[in-house]
Amino acid sequence: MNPVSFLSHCENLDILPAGVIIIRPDYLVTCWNRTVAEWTGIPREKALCRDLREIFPHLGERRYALRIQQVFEGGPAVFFSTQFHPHFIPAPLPGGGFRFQRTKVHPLVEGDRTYAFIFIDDVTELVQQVHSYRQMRNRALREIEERQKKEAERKTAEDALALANQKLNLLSSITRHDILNQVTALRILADLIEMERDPAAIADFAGKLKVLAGIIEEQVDFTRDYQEIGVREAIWQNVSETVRKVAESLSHPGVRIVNEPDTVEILADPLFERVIFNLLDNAFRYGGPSLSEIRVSRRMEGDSLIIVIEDNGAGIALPDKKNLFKRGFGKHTGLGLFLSREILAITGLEIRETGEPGKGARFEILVPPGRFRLSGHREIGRDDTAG
Amino acid sequence: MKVTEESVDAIRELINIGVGKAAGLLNEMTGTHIRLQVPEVRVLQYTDLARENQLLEGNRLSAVTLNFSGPFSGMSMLIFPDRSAALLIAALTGETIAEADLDALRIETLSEVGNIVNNAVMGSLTNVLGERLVYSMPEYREGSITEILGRSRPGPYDWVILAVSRFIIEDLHVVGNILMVFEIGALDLLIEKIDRVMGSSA
Repeated sequence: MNPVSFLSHCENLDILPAGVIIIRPDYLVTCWNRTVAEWTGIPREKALCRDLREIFPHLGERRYALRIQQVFEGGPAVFFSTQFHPHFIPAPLPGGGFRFQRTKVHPLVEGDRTYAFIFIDDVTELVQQVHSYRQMRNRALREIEERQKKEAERKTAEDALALANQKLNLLSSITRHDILNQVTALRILADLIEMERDPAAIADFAGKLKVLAGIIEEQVDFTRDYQEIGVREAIWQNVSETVRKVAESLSHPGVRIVNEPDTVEILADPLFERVIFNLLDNAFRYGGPSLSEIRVSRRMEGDSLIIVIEDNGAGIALPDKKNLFKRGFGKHTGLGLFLSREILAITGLEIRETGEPGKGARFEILVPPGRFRLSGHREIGRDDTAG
Repeated sequence: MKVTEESVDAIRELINIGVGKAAGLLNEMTGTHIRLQVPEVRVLQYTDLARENQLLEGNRLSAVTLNFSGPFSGMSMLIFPDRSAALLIAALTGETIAEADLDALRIETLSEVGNIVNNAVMGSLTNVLGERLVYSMPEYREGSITEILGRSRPGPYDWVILAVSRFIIEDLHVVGNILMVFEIGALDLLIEKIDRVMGSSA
């Protein structure tokens, strides 16, 4: 067989901007076009009739040899990608580095002989473009992520500002309106005292003055508490432990508090203790003579946890129920239950009253999923209830 | 045409030999431990192919195709569902691909994987049968199964061998499908030859 039988074809292939090498099954080079000669610096006459594996030893490795062998055996063309074979043949670039290549090896049949036609594309520019595209894309994705983060931060800041404004407005309205009301009452009482000569009546007015002063003090206390809502981060708090602590601080002769130790914890504003205080304090204040027991329990309602604080006192009259959590409604300052609702709302908790008038008050705190757990972080299931 | 269980078994065995060789080559080439399994091989009618929603659903399938002609003619292809192609490339190259984005270089990489699998399977069939076929250039196509098949020469296709293949790279399992679509009469010839060769070797 003439080892250079493709020589004339080879010269025709010189016009191609791609590298072309043709080899026989014994890897003897029968064609080496001008592009390959330019890339490698090996002139055609020095490459022809030489074993390609002698020129480029890595092509003798199994990962190349096995696949090129398929071509000689009549198999389909073989494709070598830039990713796995970036430099099929070493072709240095003038500025340093090597050309990136994409290579196809086709069967070429002449008579009863099969040759391997190796077609090498220079894809250096494409690789650079794809890498720049990937960098640009990654940068764009990072920028989008950064913007989304900043947007979320801005939203959080806006929410905090809105909350602060809301609080400020309310505080200002309380200080201006509610306290001034009490001060007006104080002035009237002072005028009455000035005019009154009866010592018993004066003593009575003085007692009322003290009550009004107490209310003003509580309103000032409220403004302080209200200011603190949402200021500190929400924390996990053990409900039965909080109830126990609050119950100990309140005097309740003749009233039994049923509060079994429990491991349930809720994520709530640090002022949650104030909520429990208000609920127990209300029971003592307005439970009436029938009040003998306050019971704390929990149950599941769908995926939410319900904390129940109920008593056997007078209960809440039906007409009062719808206004119960409104600011200013109530027998005392009208701030306790309003404040409780606000404290709970900070972490998405809700409060409702479901008791029967005459049979007792029942307050239920709804804790949504993700805001409650058992100590040790075990999630509470539907069947996991405790009294 | 009647396709017996024995014929399907023989086809399954030949495809398994092919994918075994392909896995070996991919291992050598990438230095990554890859296993290739073919848990399911079915023969179905070409007209029923579009109904294979489970295996060939999606509008962005990636396929590497290879046409062949000779004693039996048709088209072989390795076809990946959306995302699987990008996952496979990421696993083979060690790249972190944020999204299923196939750029020119990644398409090339997938083309090489498809080329290895298609060639190995076709090689396995033709070696055993002692046949020589003429092949077209391997081609990369993207789209729904109808679009991918629609871009071929409108051959009078008849039967299809569908081989579900699974690339296992460490903990990653990527499913691709090997499809061999045969022109009218071609599968009969293939099965006849397989039966003859298997019969004579039995």
